[in-house]
Amino acid sequence: MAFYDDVPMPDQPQEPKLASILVLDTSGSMAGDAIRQLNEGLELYRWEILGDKQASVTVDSCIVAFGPKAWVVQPFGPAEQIPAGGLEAGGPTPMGAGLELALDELEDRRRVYRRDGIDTFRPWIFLVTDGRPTDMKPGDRRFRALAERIREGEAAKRFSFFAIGVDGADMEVLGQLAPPSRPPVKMRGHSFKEFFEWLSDASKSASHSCPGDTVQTPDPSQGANPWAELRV
Amino acid sequence: MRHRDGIAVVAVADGLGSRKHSQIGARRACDAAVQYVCDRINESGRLRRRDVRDAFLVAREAVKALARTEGLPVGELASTLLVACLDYGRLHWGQLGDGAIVASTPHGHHVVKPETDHEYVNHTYHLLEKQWSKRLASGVVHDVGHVSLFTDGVQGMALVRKDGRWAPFSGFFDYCLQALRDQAAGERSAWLQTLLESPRAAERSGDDKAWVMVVRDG
Repeated sequence: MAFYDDVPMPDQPQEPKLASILVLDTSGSMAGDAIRQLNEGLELYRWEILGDKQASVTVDSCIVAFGPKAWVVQPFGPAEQIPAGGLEAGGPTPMGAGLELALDELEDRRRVYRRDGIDTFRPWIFLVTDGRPTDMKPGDRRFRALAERIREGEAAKRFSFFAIGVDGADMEVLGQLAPPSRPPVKMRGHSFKEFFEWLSDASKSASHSCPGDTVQTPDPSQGANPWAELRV
Repeated sequence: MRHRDGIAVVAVADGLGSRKHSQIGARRACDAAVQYVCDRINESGRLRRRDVRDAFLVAREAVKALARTEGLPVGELASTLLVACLDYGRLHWGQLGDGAIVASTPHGHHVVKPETDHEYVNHTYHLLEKQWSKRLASGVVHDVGHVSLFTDGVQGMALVRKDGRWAPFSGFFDYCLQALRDQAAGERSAWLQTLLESPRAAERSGDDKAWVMVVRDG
């Protein structure tokens, strides 16, 4: 046995984590082709992350759905726990409850990281919706509080927030929720597959990044993204 | 590293991984900082608190000058920088970026800058950024017997982190200090190098590893 095998060392630290939350609209308007493509996109994302050795240990995924109620589809965990084809569409669009749940889940996860000394990347939150919220409206207390919470979290670099509007989404409402530095992006049709391909590529890049790299926070408005319409 | 008559001046720097010429920037920063501190000691016989901080300015200017001479974009030479002068038990230290300086006193081992700069793992401050002077931490610790400076590639072997603060893993330092004392003086660097190049160290981190340890005999 070599001498270095005897050197006392602390317990092996965990790999750094990239917390990535998907806040997905599963309301009635997503029924049919949209929810089918969303489920297929999630499955693709799962396999892409699992296929990358570094990303599979780095990406810490959470899925929150809203419609008919807000619920945690998958708590934070590795990509292999992402459910395949499990989302169904129906009911109203409790986007407010979904966002509050997602933000709370992230805060709890950050506390765990900090408590356990786990290194992290800046977390990502992706809101994907094809409508407008039915549990709040612009100007009411819940809406204002959420918008402030998102703006403040983005400004303090606690997370990066992305709002993605699918066909039928109220982009004006999304614009009032999204941080000023990152306005919402409109998805072309139901190009969920392309969106999740883009997201998995961005996740893999972040997982492999070095200090000083500029490619850390993805920008859906840059590059040839087949799923995103150009911002006007 | 330089030393004479009970005074040791050491520096380590870690080139930013994505910057093409960061290794030569790191080397230049270390050389310039150590030279400056040694010159101050030679001039006045002792080090003032501000001398270590001034060494960082000198190092920064030296790296920028090197970039101009070599015709390189200055940002490509970015690195962290850690500097320490151990003067008969008094440790003057300065740190910009990740890595750590661990001082051993009669009360135990201490990370001189336990707070992490950044919440996120792929961010560090470096010598060439605009706000460098605000990011520079420095201080003086008394009654220091030994001091270690190392880059972040060594942290996983030597430190533990809880609630955002680094602390030394005492077993690691106690073992290494005793092992080094047991080595002949000419063998100590080789012992450290073997440890840093070991499979066990590679399991902890794939990053480059640099570690300087100053051990006062007696």
